Formats: sequence, C-alpha cells, structure tokens
Amino acid sequence: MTRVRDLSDLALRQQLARGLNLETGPFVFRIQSDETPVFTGLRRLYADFPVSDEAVADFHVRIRRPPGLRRWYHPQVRFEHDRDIPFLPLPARHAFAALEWGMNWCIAGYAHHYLTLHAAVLERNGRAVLLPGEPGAGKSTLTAALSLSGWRLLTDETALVDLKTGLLWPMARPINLKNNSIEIIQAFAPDAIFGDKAVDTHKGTVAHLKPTTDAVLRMHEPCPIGWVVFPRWLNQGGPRLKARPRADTFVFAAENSFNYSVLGETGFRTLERLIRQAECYDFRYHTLEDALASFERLAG
Amino acid sequence: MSGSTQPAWRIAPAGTLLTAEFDGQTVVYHTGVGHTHWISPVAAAVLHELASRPRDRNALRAALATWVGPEDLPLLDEALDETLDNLAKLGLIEPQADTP
Repeated sequence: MTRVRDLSDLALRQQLARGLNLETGPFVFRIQSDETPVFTGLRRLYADFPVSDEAVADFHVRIRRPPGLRRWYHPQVRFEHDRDIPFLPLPARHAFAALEWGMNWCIAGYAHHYLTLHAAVLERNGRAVLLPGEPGAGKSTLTAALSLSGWRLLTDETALVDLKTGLLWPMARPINLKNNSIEIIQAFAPDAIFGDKAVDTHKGTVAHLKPTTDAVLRMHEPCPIGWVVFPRWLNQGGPRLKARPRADTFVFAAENSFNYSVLGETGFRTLERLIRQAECYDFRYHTLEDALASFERLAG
Repeated sequence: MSGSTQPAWRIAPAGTLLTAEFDGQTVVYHTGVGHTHWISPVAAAVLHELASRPRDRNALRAALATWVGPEDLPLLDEALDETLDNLAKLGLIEPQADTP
C-alpha cells in the first residue's frame, strides 16, 4: 500500500496535477491541483494516508484558479466538485483550507449512506465519545488535546453513523483549529505538526493539526458509541460533568445533523439507537489538564 | 368548553409521527415536515390517545385523568388546553374537518 509519505515531492506534484486518489476512512477523494499550499498541506498533514490505485473515487475535487485576471492579480482559487463550484473563490494562499472545507462539504452533502452529525468523535478503550457543540464551545481544542493524549481521533468535524450497525466510522482527517486554539495546542504539544496558518479567512486564522499515525492506520476500524459529551470552555472554575437528558441530546443531535431529514425514518431510528446506547453529559471546563483528567475517569 | 361544539382532534394526516422514549421523556419526529420535538409527558399522552382514533377534548381529558394522580387533576384542564394548542401550532395534530 502506497502512502503519501512514500511519494517523492515530484511524484506527489505529478499525481496532484492529474488527480491523486486519497483514502480518508470510507471515502476516496480524487484531488487535482497545481497549487503549492495544497501540495504542502498534503505532504505535511496527510503523510500517513493511503494513496489508492483504484480508478473509482467517491468525490472528484479540484482546487484551481478561476479564469481571468484573478489567476495573476491577487490570485484566487476555487473549489470544484465535479462540475459544481459551490463556494466563492478564496485567496490562493488559502488553497489548502479551501480543500479541507470543500471535502467537508462533499461529505455533508452526499454521504447519505451514513447519518452525518456535526460533531467530533474520539475513541478510548473500544468506546467512542461524540462531542457536539456550538461554535466557540471549545470542541476542536478539546478534540485536539484528547487526540494527542491517547484518544484515537475518528473525526473532528463530521460523525459518520452506520445506518445498519450504528457504529461510528473514522476518517481521521486533520483537525481544523481556529484563532487562539492554535497557540493553545502548540503550547500543549510543542511537537505537534501543523500546516501553514491561513490568516484573514472568514473564520479568522485557521491551521490544521496532523492526526496521529495510529489514528490514520486505524481509519477502517469503526467503533460503538459510549458517550455524548457537550463541552463548553469557561474562563474560570473547575471541571463539571453533569448528566444531560437523552431526549434533549437527541433533539440537539437531530438539529445538528447534515442529513437527518433527508434520511427520514431511517435517520430517526439510527439516531434513536445511537442515543439509547450512550451516556449523555454536559461538560464545563477551564483548563485542558482538568478536561483530560475528567475524560480519563469517564473512560475508566 | 361544551361537549356539543368541541372539535375532534386527530393526528395530522400529512406524514407519520414517530416517537422514541428516553428515561420517561419523549421525542417525536413528524415525517411530513421533517421536524423533531422534545415533548412533555402530557403531549406524549395526547398523541398516544389520538394514535388509535380522533377524540374530542372531553374524551382526551377522561383518558388523561387515568394517567395522572388525583393531586394533579386540578391542573389537567389547563395543561390539556395548552398542550392541544401547542401540538396544533407544531402541526402534529389538527381539528378534524368534518366536526362541527
């Protein structure tokens, strides 16, 4: 099996130019781009991911410059999926972030053979914790810290629930950190590998954290749910884990699903099974050390 | 309310109501519009009663009176009226068209 790290710089650029088949859990993305930030991001953050030789990919995506002056003057890039151009162009220096957001968009919009939820998922001792959360709740920061502390990353952004088995499937893609979270995780784990920062995006400054090699090597191992935890960072106080009603958790998860309504009764029954099997909590924390200790106790 | 002018309530016919109970609390999914709601025990009881056939308010009150303890009976009228109003606003139930 060939992985991105096995390719020379020249080979990686050549494959990207004609289309690189990248495996991310159950999906194969055929990525085509000549943009250097895409090459750099894949080289650094996707080094452990397999490169598929299969001709068939789930998603055919491109990052390339639009026609006209914007190829050269304050150059821009755009994300393309097949013939669709779903987003406005972004500055060319944001090409890797554009690719990541576009890949998320593909999964959210098309992966209807799973129930997809806007949540991070990690695994410890054979059970998964699902971390939903409103923007600013500290979900990605906590996910990054857990993933660097013995928890296996399944996803930072989109939980994939198997419609038949109820298991959660990994993708193990890089974790998208924003603004202060970048420095917090760099201080927490100085050896962690980050991609280049993209500044002045519509989400502020963003940078992606490389997933651990173990998470990537195990990206075909699904996992049963153990817990649903709603994290919220507070500017003071000790950690507090409080039981949350399952019914309330269900409604929040349904409202934060990308395709629950598309799936109809199947979505309802899949989510019912997931929530029935999970312990549900609200979690307040201030320091990452407190949070990690709380999660250690949770995982037993 | 007088019995002669009461509408019979029924489950909204556009779609199906799916329910799931967790620890005594109920969520309901309306397949017709794709919305999910966390509903009160009184609302869950009303939907349960209407699942088999339409009923007017008096019939619902009589059925729900067997679900609540005697100490809650004075509150039942107010709770039932509010619940019927809320369920109708959510589009989960509606007055039957052919009732007076």
